Amino acid sequence: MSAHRHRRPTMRVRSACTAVLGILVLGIAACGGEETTGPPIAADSDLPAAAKQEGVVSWYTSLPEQYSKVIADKFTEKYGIPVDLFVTGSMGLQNKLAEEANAGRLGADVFHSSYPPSFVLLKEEGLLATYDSPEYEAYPPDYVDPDRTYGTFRATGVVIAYNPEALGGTPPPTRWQDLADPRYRGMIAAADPQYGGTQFIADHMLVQKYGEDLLRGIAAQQPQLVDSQSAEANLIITGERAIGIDMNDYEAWSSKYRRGAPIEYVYPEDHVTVVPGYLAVLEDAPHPNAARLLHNYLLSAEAQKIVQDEVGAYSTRRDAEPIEGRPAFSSLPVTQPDWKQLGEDTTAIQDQLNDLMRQPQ
Amino acid sequence: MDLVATRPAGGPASSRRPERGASYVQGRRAGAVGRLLLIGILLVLVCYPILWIFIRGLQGRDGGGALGRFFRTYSEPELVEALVNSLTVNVPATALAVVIGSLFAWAVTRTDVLGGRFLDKLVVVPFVTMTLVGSFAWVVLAAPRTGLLNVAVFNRLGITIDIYSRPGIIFVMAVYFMPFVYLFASGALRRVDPALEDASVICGRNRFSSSLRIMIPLVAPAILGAMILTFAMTMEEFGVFAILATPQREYVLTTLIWRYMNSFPADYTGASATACLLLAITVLVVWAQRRLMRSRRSFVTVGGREYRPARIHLGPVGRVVVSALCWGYVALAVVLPALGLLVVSLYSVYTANLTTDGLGLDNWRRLAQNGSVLEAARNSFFLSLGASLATLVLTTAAAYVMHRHVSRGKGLILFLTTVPVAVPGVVLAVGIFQAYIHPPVVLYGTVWILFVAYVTRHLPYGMRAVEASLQQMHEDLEHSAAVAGAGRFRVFCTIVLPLIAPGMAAGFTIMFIAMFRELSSSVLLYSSGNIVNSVLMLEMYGQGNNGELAALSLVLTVATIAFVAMVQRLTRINLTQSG
Repeated sequence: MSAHRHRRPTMRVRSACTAVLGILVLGIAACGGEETTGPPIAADSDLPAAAKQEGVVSWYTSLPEQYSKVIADKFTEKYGIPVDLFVTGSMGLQNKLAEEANAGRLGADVFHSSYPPSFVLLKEEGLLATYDSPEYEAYPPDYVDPDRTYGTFRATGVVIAYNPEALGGTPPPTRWQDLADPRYRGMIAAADPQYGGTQFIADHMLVQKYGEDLLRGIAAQQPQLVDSQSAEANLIITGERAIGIDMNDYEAWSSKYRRGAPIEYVYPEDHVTVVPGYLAVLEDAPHPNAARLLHNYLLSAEAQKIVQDEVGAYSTRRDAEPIEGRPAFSSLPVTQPDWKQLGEDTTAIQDQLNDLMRQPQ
Repeated sequence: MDLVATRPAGGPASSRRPERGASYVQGRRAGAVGRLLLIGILLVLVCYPILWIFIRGLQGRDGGGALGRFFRTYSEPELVEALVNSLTVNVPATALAVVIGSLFAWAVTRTDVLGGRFLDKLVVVPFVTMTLVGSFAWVVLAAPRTGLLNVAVFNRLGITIDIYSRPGIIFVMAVYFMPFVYLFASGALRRVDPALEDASVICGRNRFSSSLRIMIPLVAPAILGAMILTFAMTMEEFGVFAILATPQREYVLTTLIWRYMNSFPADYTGASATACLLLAITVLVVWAQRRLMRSRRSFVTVGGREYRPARIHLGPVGRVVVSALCWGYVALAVVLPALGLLVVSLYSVYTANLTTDGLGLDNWRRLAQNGSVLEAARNSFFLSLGASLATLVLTTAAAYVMHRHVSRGKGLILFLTTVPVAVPGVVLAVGIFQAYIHPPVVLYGTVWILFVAYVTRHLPYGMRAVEASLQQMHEDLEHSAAVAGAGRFRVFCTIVLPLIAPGMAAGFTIMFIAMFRELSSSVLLYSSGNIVNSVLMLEMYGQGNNGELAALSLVLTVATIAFVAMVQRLTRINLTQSG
């Protein structure tokens, strides 16, 4: 926000006009000089009491509400502190948080999304609190920020899903490169990389690994592009499309095992994109103690068990049990991109993917 | 007082003033203060957030200016493509909606079509449903491979209908915007003096063609107004295109804006530039409408006489034909999608195979146990009720000032109450977000930011409804009262208000419905604790809870219809009491 930019309206329209401009100028001037001094932060052992004093905690999360609420309710049950949930997609959360921070009116205590570059960016801007959570010990170093600004709440594997009946005897693809095979023409559904972090990262990784031709080949199959993996799952379950690429493993897993839907999935043999869903406490959190308490709870073995059993997403904790119908997390052929670079190049990559996925007319 | 029928009302400059009494002059002064206050409120409501859209749009990503990027947006081929897509869908869709909507309104209000009272309620159902849910229902019905209509009927005839195709999208748009035209046209038709029609019959024309030839031109101002608003609404429609057009990578202006805003980091500059284009188009269209209306003779049709509109008798054959057409339309546009949603709601996993496997009430049970549903319904109800009443007060004042006073500020009021329709909800929300997160007025984080957003967004709805009924009322009625010594305020309360009450009731109804399902700005402005219906439903859609979504949508549709029917009943009683 550019502060103290006083502009005198030169037009003499009407007094009301001047009043509006006046309000605006005041607004611009006022939002520059605010400094917030938060309450002191308690030691880890005193967090529950200090958090209780703060009364409430707010969690901005991209984990769908039905799941977030289960975990939040458990937290409330345990510590007697209600959780204000704000749930929306990763991109929407990022933008909301950025605007709130910009206006100096942060609403979030704890932030979770499945777009890692958000965290890198927020960290660079000094918006994330440095907090060495006692839970970090249980995680492999790859999934905790070395500067202790964020940890990993869940990890999403990107799979290829399919409906055996809709395939009508055609064998399902097992590798990414199979998708360009003309026999799958008109059968593919995909999540639009413009709309979500997971598919954006997955498509980018495909380009990195196989070059632009693979995506061009997939685009030539006339895929139906939808805005979310859930919409994609529905296309596959109804059989409108037979194959879904860029599918979240937990979405496919819960459709199959929890809802009994006719959907199968493969972790491609050649490469699996894994998107870590980070979790962080905000530097200017309105309830800093409650924020830390919730952060620790969400990373605890208790909450992570819910993440695995209810959500069907991988926990990256060392002591996490394997999930039914899924390979062990450690066995996945994971390639992690450089999140910082990815965040900086997002616009260029988005343009590139957009061009590649554009169907030849 | 003469029984004014049709006659040119004359421009504002030529309107005659009656003798001025003392109270009249006093009223004038109070009127001037009130007018300034009104303009002030409207300016803050409308211009302040729009100003913020520009401020945010011209802020570069690195804090610097972004003027270059702003103008470069206009040379992007995707913008041109989106503009062409927007126009080639929305122009035919609006035309279709206007034709069907006005003929339907005529049939229901002026003829003895079978079950007219039910048609009147049923035909607005699509308007009550969120377009997101409605489009989803049409996907269930007419997706090329698994659509129920295709599987059950058309494939057997060797035909496949594709709802994702251009004609499919135009059809869905027309179905969802037709009720809007219907509401305006039927409101106006109910107010027209049937003596005009009688006169035509006396002159030898038959009843049927008299009705069409006389009535349609008489309500043309209302229909034209509705058409402009409908076109503007189609231009800023989001849900239909997101579900039906985006899957083919066909963007319209609104989905393009959404794409800009949801990129990372958000491209507010591109969004703002695209929004300006939308704004320009709408301003142009409204300006054209005003010019058109000025060059025509305007028809004042509500005189000082009471009347009860007579319905024409269509005759046995005509009655069957018209009834079949109307009910056929309702079956197609209302009943089928509702059935589609019902089917989806009855399967715990909907697979498009209509077997008895998995059939049950699971979704309905889950819905009943979901605490968020009740909370959202309560929030939406009180918000919509409060905001539509507030908007009604504002727009009634604005419309009255505009139409009854030779005064400066008219153009400004018109502009202010029209502009919000041109700003897509997603963009207006950005402005409102910025405007009310920064001091001096901080509403962010409270339910009041939604209240303000709803009022701001729906000013044009209320304005058009009240304006339409004012346009049909001759000012002699007020002048007579003024001559008899009544002050301006008294004239307004005793003469104007009762006469425009039906228009106000219509405006209230339309606004309530629109707010109750408002999505595009709610989704950006709500915060935890004040979730509303539409956001909850978007959430369900996003999570793939289509069964629960379908069930909730059916419940809300029925509830809204019941509420609207109740309001109409109440207002009719009030109307007869004061008349």
